[in-house]
Amino acid sequence: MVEGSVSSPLLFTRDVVLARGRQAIARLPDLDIHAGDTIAIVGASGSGKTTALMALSGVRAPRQGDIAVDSTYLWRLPDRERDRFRGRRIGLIFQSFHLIDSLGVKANLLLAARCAGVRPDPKRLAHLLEKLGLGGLEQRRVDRLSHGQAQRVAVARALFNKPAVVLADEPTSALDDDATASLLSLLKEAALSEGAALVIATHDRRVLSGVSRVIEMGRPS
Amino acid sequence: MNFVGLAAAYLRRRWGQACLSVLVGALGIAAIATTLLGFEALPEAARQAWGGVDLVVGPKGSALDLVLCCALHVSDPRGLVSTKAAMATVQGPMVRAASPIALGDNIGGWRIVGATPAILDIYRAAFADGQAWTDKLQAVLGARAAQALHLKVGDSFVGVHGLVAGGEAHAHFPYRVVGILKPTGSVVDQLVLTDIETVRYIHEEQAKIEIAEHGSTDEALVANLPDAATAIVASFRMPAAAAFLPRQIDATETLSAASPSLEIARLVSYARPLTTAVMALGLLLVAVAGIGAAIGLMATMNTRTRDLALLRALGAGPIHLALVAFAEAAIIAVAALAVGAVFTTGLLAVLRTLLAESTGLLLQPHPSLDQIAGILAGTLLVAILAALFPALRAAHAEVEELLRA
Repeated sequence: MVEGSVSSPLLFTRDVVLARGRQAIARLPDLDIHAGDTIAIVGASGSGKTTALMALSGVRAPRQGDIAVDSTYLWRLPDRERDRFRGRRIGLIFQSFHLIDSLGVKANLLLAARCAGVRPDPKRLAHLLEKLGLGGLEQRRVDRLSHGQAQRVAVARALFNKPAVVLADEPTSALDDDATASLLSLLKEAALSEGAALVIATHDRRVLSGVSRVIEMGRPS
Repeated sequence: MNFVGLAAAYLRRRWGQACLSVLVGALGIAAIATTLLGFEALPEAARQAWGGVDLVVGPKGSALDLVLCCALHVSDPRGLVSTKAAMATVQGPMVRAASPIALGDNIGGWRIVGATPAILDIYRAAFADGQAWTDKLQAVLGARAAQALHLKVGDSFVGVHGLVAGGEAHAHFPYRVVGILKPTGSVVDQLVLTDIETVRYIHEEQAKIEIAEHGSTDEALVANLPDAATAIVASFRMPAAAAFLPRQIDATETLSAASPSLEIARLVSYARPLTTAVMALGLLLVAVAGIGAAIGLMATMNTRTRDLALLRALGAGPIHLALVAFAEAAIIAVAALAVGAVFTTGLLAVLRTLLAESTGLLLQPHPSLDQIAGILAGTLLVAILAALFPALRAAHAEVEELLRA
């Protein structure tokens, strides 16, 4: 356990003010997010959703306030430690998946473990791939997968290192209604079964009915 | 999957460009290694060829010619000396053995050398079969000559005038093989030895026949110098002889002395600008390969911005990202080294065959640990330099680029 431990919530924020350059752009409501919670951070374009995600994932420091993931204050960790912590305890899902095209399905997942300095568990790998309907596709290069399959690989990669929190950035913006419902269902089920909290940054109002809590980005006071 | 595996996967995606870098690098490495190894092995091959010959005494003229003709047997003689006068210069306690040699005939391109049995001592040759000549028209064959000519003790053959195949046959003077030598690794393996009196006898008798038939002969010179020899070859008993004897001999009016080791060293020094030029070309090729790899890596790093940012998002540190670039360059370097080693082996084999066919010298390159370490270190240095800027570029990848995409 590192300096400044707190208890219980998997994601905890207090008095977080986000900034872009020198300018404060948004205040993040105080959060206490537990395992199985699904949260949507919503707001118009430029409202600071992505900046919030950067702060929550340990990529860019907030102007002020505390963020703790799984009892560890992110911004009190040294840079390298924070990188490693992100790899181990925060699963990231991007709008366009960002899989590494040169590699196969299995290699993409194993690379996630390697980047985080985690010893990959072959049983977990097989279990996740099977659970997400990717059984038999382990060696297939990801640029030869269908959109739906690639989406599931991205989810599997985010979950592979057993994260405490899964952060998804605009995961449904390019999807039709059916695909949006299907992806939301997949994300929620996967996060729930892995005991993780799910946070979705989106401007897509279709997401709101499927989450347990919605947070509107507000201007800093 | 690790970062080296990822680098290999990236290379597979741009295999054409990677293969070109490997090929150019391999050619450069091969040019350097072949020049380095071949050039270093050449004096050693010559040293092995001249065997125990420490000194050649011949007519006034080029010392290098004397060595090439009479110690290495790769060029033609330039004149004759009086055996008596020349042998007198190498008498004394400093000389272990000395023999006159007379060139002029061959069999199937293999030189027939008239000498005294002392020549066997000079080359430290031992008999595989038979014995030394005891009479005229008897021959002792070096191991390679006997094998190539398919001759054994008791067989007969006819010599041909001149030092290359295709001359006029001395059909009236057949030789009988009385001995076959064991391989020595020296030039004597390629010679057909006979009593020097045999050579004189054949040419005197040939002259008589030609005069009777045509009224003239090109053997007249031999007939006019009854104890003619092409040169004297000698082996020293003590190294100090090298300091005194050549000077004494060069001071005479008709004779000059040549030391094989000095002349070959001089010959090698003449060739050094050429080898330096080939080495420079090799270095240039390696540099081009390095620059090509660097440009390729830099270009791919720019197209891989998102991949690199993703690795950062997944927890990889800047060093890991730099490692991907270095691993790609290292894979190219290792492949270039492997292909370069194959090229070098092939080039040296071709060089060895060509040299053996044209001169009889046996090139046996043995890379030293220093040379191997030098080539490895040089190649890896180029790889590191090639990967340096791409690695710095990779190390500065930021996750923000991914989230902003």
